[in-house]
Parts: sequence; structure tokens; C-alpha cells
Amino acid sequence: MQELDLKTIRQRAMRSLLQDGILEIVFGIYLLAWGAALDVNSGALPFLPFGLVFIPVIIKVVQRRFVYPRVGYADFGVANKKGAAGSVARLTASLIGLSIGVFAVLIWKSGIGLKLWSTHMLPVLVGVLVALAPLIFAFKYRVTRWYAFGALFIASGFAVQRMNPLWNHMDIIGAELEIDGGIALAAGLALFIRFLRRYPVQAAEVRDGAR
Amino acid sequence: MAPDEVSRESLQPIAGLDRIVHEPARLMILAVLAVVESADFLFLLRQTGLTRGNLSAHMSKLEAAGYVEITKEFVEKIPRTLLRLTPKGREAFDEYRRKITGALGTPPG
Repeated sequence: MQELDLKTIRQRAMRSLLQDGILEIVFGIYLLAWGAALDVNSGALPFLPFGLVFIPVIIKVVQRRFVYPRVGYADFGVANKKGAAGSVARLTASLIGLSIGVFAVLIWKSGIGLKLWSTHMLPVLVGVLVALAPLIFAFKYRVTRWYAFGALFIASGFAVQRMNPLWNHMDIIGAELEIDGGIALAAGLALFIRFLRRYPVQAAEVRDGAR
Repeated sequence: MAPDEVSRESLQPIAGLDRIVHEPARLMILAVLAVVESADFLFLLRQTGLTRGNLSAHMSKLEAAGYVEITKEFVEKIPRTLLRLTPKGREAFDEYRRKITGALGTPPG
């Protein structure tokens, strides 16, 4: 018999609401949109993180339509935010943000050498930043496929870095985001189709409990 | 104290277990509700693997004991039964966990 504790029960309960692929689809579309935006205007990059704020809202709306009638609804609320893991995640995110800020200031104040190096390393940095979200989620909810996404996003950073050096570096970042977005979107669509097939919409009396 | 009495005393926490919580189906429901703010009937049905009738009956018992709060709401004109652990229910569940761990400890090996 498997050993169970409340943490495991919570992770499994959360995973049951995350098997639909909607997170991957929304994240993929978000990355594709930003890749396309960078192709048009390179000044769009600093605004990239702000779009992340809307992802949970969009996911909630889509889940209400497609997921809750099939596998039910649960609000993890405060129970999800408590604990040392949440503090570690917040601290890590703050440190990463601070590091990026310091890095940006250093580049801004530096000579041409560091600027060239940073331009060269930018695809890798973007790859790592894009990989952060799936890696944090993978660690938090123990979802193996998100580790794979994180690894693929970082790998795409290194791969894109080796692309034609004559390209404008923002075009390269745009291409990288489009590759990452394509991977996430394709995987998400496959998961979503599988989810719809596996879990038909339940009749109202089943969902309601008919009490 | 005679060996029999010592043995009896160490087993006493088991006799004091809350029977409402101790029933496996209800324990499953409480374990799921302990890790969420609230959940609907369908979610509990899927998580516990109970039948509709069984889940419904145990929900009523938990509600009667004051361990679970059941509310009805409408989402896009479809009724939804939402369950939430009450403070009394959480206390009973935590107490049960303490007692069962204290009485039986962790499994060997």
C-alpha cells in the first residue's frame, strides 16, 4: 500500500485539475504572441512578464467551461499558499528578479565587451526565464511533463543562440519564443483533446449530487 | 501495574477515536476537504471513487455532525453542491490524525 500524507493528497488533487492541457495552451499562445510582437517591434521585450498576470484569469474562465463539468471543481485557496515551499518559491522569484535587475544595470553601465556578451547570451537567458514557470510548477505539483518543458525551453535558448549571427538579436529572441510557444501549444492541444475524450461532460444531477 | 493493564492503557486512544471520522469513506472525504478551501460533489466523487449514493449519504452524516458545510450555488444556471470543512470538522480530523498516529505510530521498516 502506498504511503499517503496530506501534502501528497493535495498534490494529486491539484494534478487532477491540471491534466487538461489548458495551462500549456494558454502559455503557448502567450509565448507565440510575444514572439510575433518582437518580430514587429523589438521594444516589446520588457513588457513580456506583465502578460503573465492574465494567464490565471484566462485559465479560470476556460476551466469553468470545459474542466469543472467533467472532473469537478475545487478551490485550493489559502491551503495552497501556506507552507515553507511557498516562502521558498517567493524568495527564489525575488532573488531572480533582483539578479535580472542587477544584470541589466551592469550591462547598461558597462563597456562594449559586456554588451556584446550579453547580446550573445540573451537567447539563453530568455530560455532560462521562460523555463522558470514550468520548472517551478513541476517542482510544486510533481508534474513530470513540466520538467520536460523547462528542459526543452532552456535547450531552445542554446539552440537559437547558435543560429545565424547576422540576425538581429531581437529576431532571434522572437524566433525562440515562437519555438517555445509552438512546443507548449502543440503539447497542450494534444493533452486537451485526450482530456475531452477521457472525461465526458457529467449530467447535471451527477455534478450536483442530486440531494 | 499488571502487564494486562499496561497493554489496555496503551490501546485506550484507539477506543477514543471519533467514529464519524474513522469510517474509511468519510475519512477519504475529510482528507480531500482538508487540503482544499472547498470542492464540489463531482470533484469529491472523482477523488474518492465512491458511488453517488454512498458519497451523498456520508456527506449528510458529516453535515449532521457539523464537520462539513454544504452549500448550493448556481453556475450558469446549473446547480452545484459545494462542500467545505468547518472549523469543528478540521479540529476533529486533526485530532483523529494525532490519536491514530499516537496509538499506532509509523509503520516499521
